[in-house]
This record gives sequence, structure tokens and C-alpha cells, in this order.
Amino acid sequence: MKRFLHSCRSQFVPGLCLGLALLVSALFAVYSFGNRAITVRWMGFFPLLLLVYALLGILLMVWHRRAPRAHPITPYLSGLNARFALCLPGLAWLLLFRLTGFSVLERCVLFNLLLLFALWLIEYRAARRLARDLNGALGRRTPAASLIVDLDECPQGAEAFCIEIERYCIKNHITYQFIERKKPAVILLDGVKHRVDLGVYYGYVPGWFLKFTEI
Amino acid sequence: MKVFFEALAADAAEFAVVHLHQRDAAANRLAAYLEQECFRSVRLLCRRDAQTVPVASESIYRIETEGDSLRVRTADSFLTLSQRLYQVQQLLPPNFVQAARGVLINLDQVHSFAPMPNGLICAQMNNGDAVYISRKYARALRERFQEGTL
Repeated sequence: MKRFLHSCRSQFVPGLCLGLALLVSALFAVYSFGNRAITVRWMGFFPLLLLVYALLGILLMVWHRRAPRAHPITPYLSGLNARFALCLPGLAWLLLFRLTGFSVLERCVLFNLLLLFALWLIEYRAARRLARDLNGALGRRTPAASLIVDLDECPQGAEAFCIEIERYCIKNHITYQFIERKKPAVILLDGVKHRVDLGVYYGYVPGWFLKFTEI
Repeated sequence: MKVFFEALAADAAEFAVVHLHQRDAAANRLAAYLEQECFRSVRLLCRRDAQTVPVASESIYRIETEGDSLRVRTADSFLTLSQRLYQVQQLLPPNFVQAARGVLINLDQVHSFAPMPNGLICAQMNNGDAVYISRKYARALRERFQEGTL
């Protein structure tokens, strides 16, 4: 409860703004009927609508900004089950609005949902751009320097593996010093520490390679 | 930039001389980095059960507040530290950044960042843990990357 109240306090202003935006979209929905009588009747509820939407906005923001759960509350709302669960609001919609004839309320809810979807899309795209920028900066900060050297055949054993490494270094005039002479090997190449792994890729025939990774 | 090292006698004071065309903000940052010896490893004295264990900062993945103490996460274990987060943050090198209220993460142990449907950014750590960063701290982190302070 304490955590919930703290969340409400931290999301108060964003929630209020969201509530006001939803209220405006609901008023647009009412106005879209073009019927003065409906508009006047609904404007009579304006103070109540303001309060309801303010509370709704705050609760929506608290729910939206909650930290993801490590495990779902119930297995019935996770994975494939969630897709079936999404049908339930649709069914509720049909029962509540179509059968009862609350067309004004239906349109308000529809406009609200459209607005929420648009806002969510904008936010998600901003988050995706932010994550991309951070990943780019992270990559530049710790460049993964890897070198792949193809081998003609698979070296049999750790010693043959190390001999292939030596052969490459000698051929390319690279000073080398083994720190760990085994498979995978740890080696200094021109004074820079690298780990060398033996890799295999599968094409028409399998191929082997040495992968030098700076560590 | 080429870097040269010269060995000193054990009793001589260590110093660094930097040859540059001009002294600018980047040079000042380098000077501060060298003066504060941020290149040296920082060790925190943590507790595991009843034992005191020195933990090198490179092996720390994240530090989070838990009540009056701190919880230190390494690759495969949790330790406790009886200090305030701001005190620990002053000791740690600049690669430790704030991810959320009461949470510090080690950028050197971050594998990647991913966007979440609720607008948070998920930092995937090298040990498989996920840490959620709010947009406010993620934006501040991006600015620090752009300024070159990280």
C-alpha cells in the first residue's frame, strides 16, 4: 500500500496530464455526434468527468510505469494465454455498449483508446530510439575487437591449435606471447591481450576458424 | 594518441605528463581522471553472512538500496554493504551510473539496452540480470555519453 501511494505521488502530474488529455478526447467524442442536446447533457457532468478522468489518468500512469514482474501473476495471463485473454475486453465491449445502447459512452471510450494507443506508440518509439543511442554509445565505449582467421583443417588437439595461432602470427609479422597455451588460448598480440577460440561454421562442408577477441 | 610508460623507483612519487596542442574540456577531464586515479581498481568491503569480503569494483554488477544498507550484486552472489548509496557512488569510478532511485549499475557489465513496452529501458547485464532504467536516468546517461564523460 505504501509503495502504491508512493507511485501515485510520483505519477501525480503525468497522470493528471493524461487524464486531461483523455477528457478532451472524450469531449471531442461527444461533440462528434453533432447533437446539441447530447452535448448539453454531457457538459452537465463536466465536474464529475474531470474528477473521474483525473483519477483514471493517475491510476493508468501508475499501472503503466510499474516495474515488470519477474514472474506473471497467473499463468493464464502469460504467453499464448494472453492472446486469448485479449478477446475478453472485446466481448465485454459488445455486451456493455452494443446490447445496452450506450452509444455516447462507447464513442468516448473508443476515442480514449485511440488516444492511449497513439501516446503509447510515440512513447515506445522514443524509448526505442533512446535504447539504440545507448547501445551505440556502449558499443563505441567497449569495442568488441574480433578477428576471424579461416583454417584449412581442424587442428587436432591443443598443441596443434596453438601452432596454428603461431603460424598466423609469424605470417603476419605479429609479436606474440602465450599466457595460456591451451584451447581456448590467452595470448598477447603486439602487447594486447586476446582470447583465441576455435570456431566452426557449417556450409557445404564444415569450416574451422580462429577467433581472436580482445579482452 | 601514443602512450609511453616509464618505470619509476619504488620510493619515487608517481606522476603523469600529458603533451597536447591545447588544453580544453577533454584535457581537463583527462587530468581529473589521472589526479583521482580512477584507473585504479576500487575495493569495497562488503559482508557475506558473517564474513567481511573485499570486492573489486570491476566484479560488481549493480548496487541497490535495501532498507538502511546496500545490496551488492556480483556475477553469482549478493553481498551487503553498510553505507549510503551516495557515499559509495563517490568512491566508485565513473562507469558506475545511476539507473533508478537507489540503484547503481556498472556500465562495463552491461551487455545491451532494450526498450520496454511501458517506456522503461531494460539494461541486460552480462550475468543475465535485467535492470530497469527510467527514461529520466536513461536520457541523462545518453547525455553523458554524448558529452564524453563516460
